[in-house]
Amino acid sequence: MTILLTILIMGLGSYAMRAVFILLLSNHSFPPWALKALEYVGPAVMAALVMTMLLSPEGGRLPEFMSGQGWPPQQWLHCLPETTFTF
Amino acid sequence: MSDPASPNTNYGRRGFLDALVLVIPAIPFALVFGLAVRESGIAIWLGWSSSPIMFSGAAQITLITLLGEGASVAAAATAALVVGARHLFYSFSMAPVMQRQPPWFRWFAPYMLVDQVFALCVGKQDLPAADFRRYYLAAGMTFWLFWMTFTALGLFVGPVLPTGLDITFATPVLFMGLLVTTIDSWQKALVAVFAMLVTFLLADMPSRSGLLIAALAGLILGLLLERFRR
Repeated sequence: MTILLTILIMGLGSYAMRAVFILLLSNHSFPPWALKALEYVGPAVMAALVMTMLLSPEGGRLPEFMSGQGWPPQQWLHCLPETTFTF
Repeated sequence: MSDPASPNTNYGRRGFLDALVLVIPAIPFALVFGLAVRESGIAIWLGWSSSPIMFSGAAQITLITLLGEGASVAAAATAALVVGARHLFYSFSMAPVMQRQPPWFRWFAPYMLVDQVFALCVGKQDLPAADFRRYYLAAGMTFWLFWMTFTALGLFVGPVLPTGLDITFATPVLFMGLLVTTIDSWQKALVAVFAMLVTFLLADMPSRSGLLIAALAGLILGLLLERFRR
């Protein structure tokens, strides 16, 4: 029951992070400079994401506190060598 | 990734086809998530239920694994939220284009705002509202169906995964291609290079939080460049 509740709360949390600006700013007009500035979010985030994928060390798909605890099993690492954040 | 737009472009079909290319390198990750659920000791239906409820691969695998290892709920949830925090940027970036969309779509679209959908749609913001919506829905539903199917499949076929399977190298290559499509000025190129550099310098930060700082730094640089240009 606790785990189901945790997953449900995390579902709400994940949705909230994706929705917060879309919903909060839905009725606000953006000044032209802000619209222009928002064009930089794509290149900035995508570039950071690509570099994270390229740099990812063994087990780098996961937070560091996991990779030091024998997780994931070694045979999985052969399947998932260098990338992170598949999504 | 797709043909140039024409007045007759079917954006639903185009979104599906564009998404399909990015689905393929994500398959091993989906299968491994299924495996992680099996290994965690959590009931498989419960572990898999995080796929439709959260629809956030890296955050899901973080949460399930930590819960399976006996971490406290608060610790597991916090770690998963940090991993998923980059979605805040996606939401921020998509806010203006969503203003032109009907309310039902503004409420529904965030559920499908994963890395691949953002990468595909961030360069499509100049499309007419209806075409953007079709493209977004097609790409999002493609990823959703893929994730539900392959994480379920991973519950059963994960243990027999071949150890040499390796197609995930394609992911950064594909994302690099999408990154290039978002760059149409030297300022954006500079922001991208700067964000990469900051990510590189902060590579050792915990839980990939360097990515968030680098993206924020890139955005601030973009703001400064715009300010100086005016």
